[in-house]
Amino acid sequence: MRRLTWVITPILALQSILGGLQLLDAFQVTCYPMIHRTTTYRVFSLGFSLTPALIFLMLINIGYLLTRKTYAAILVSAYVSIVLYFFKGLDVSVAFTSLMLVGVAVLDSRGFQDYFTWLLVLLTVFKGAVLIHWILLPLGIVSPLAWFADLEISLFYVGTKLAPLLVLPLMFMWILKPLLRWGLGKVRNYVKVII
Amino acid sequence: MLKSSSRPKALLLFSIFLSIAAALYPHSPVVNPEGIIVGFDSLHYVKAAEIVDRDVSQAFKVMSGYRPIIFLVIYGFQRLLGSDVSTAVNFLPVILNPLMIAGAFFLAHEAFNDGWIAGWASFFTACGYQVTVGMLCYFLTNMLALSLAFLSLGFLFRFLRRFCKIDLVLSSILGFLLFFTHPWTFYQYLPAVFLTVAISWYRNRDEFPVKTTMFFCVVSLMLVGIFKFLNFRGFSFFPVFSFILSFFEDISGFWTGNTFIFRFLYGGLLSYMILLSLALIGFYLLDRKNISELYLTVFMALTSIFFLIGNYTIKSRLLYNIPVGLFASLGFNSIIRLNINENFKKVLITFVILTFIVYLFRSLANII
Repeated sequence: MRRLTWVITPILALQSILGGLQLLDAFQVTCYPMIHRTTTYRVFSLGFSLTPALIFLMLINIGYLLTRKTYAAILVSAYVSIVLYFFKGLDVSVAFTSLMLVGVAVLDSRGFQDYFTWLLVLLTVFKGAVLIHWILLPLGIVSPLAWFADLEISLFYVGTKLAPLLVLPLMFMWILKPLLRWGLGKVRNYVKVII
Repeated sequence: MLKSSSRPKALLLFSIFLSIAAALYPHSPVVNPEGIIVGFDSLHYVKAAEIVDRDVSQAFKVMSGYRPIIFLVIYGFQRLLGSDVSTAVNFLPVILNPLMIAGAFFLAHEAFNDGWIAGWASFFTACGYQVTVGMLCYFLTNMLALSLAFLSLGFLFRFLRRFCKIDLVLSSILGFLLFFTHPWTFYQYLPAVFLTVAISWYRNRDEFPVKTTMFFCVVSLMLVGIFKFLNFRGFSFFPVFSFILSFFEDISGFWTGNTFIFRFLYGGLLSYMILLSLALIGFYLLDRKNISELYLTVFMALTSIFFLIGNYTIKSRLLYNIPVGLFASLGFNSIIRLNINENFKKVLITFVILTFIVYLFRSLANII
């Protein structure tokens, strides 16, 4: 079983990355990247569909879950998948179900550290490819990795939507922290009393 | 193989190398084939520096006399290179970036007495928005001011640890220079020193040399006042303060301004999610028992008040001036020191290093 988990974990990590990308593409998330000093409007688009690849990975995942006898989770995922298909189409349905099945498989195997390690390995390979592009650029070498660099720009700028929210706890942590501690202390005391 | 005690210094050297590469990258003929001038403010600096080049005493008058130190630095750098003014201004980040990185290392080292926190602080500063936004807008004065602020605080914290008065004198001199470099940065950093000293005095810490520290702070401020009175016309605390006040807006515009600075201002380069997330963790982990940590908390508290009421320009500059690399380093060190799988740790470190270098070079490739 350990060997099976070792094989399935990188597949789960890859499936979650592709599923995430497919969702961003399907929902046509917008962003405002700065390209050569100009802020431009961009709709997140991969230029192709990841659905066939995701279906293939999903089948492997389902095979793994069947060996683990998690029939209920598979049935629920199938139900969600069908409902989403009617409302949002095939791409969203497959991407969302993929992510759901990844969640089920990771929870079932309890291989959180292995999963996150593989997730980071794949992202590191991606970042490495992008870095090679930016390093080769001033040397005048036309890199075949430009597509990855462009994808990385889009992903960075999609994330900027959360930055205004993130900066608030950063700026006001000095007041939030004592409040959080006070609140958590109260909750702990309350729980102790109940138990 | 490097000794474990030398590794943070190797990280510092690597960060300095990156910061020099960052200063040169946008000037590469392939990245910038049309030779577009790097930095929005570059031309203003060139014009003012040309006046200073003809008469060095003009350093105290150009750009309203607010920032003489940077023009003296440009003047010296130009003489050192034996080049024209434009070349000196264009390549000034070659010395300003490493100075800021070294300052961040020194500040983190003196504040936390930990080589790794210092090493990572230098890396996160080198690959953070202080370099990318600084290069995009050409915040030369602000970058020099940050270097001076980091070094000044570093010496202050070192004094508070060792009680060697030379450190306090150096801290005061650097603080004095900071005022004549970028008064806004000075006003952001100095009040927190007074408040921290006052809180420490209130806590009645016997080991804290409150009188000596206050004495030097007051003397350096008096020197600033006297020097300013003797040398500068039309430059005093109140006009600067009223100028800053004119940028305040009502809180109803807070969210619009906040969104604007992260989405559009500086090409969205401030919205560096990983850096901000690590900084958030780092700030959460600060405890206020240590004097340097108390200072950083007070500094952020005071900054946040102005962040709340300032307009988007004020907000963005306050955010730019935060030692975000230091906070991020604290957060990152706390994560990698957790009792987690060694493989995960190694991959995480590689991922973070690559992500930050990609951010740096991608941003620099797009600032021209």
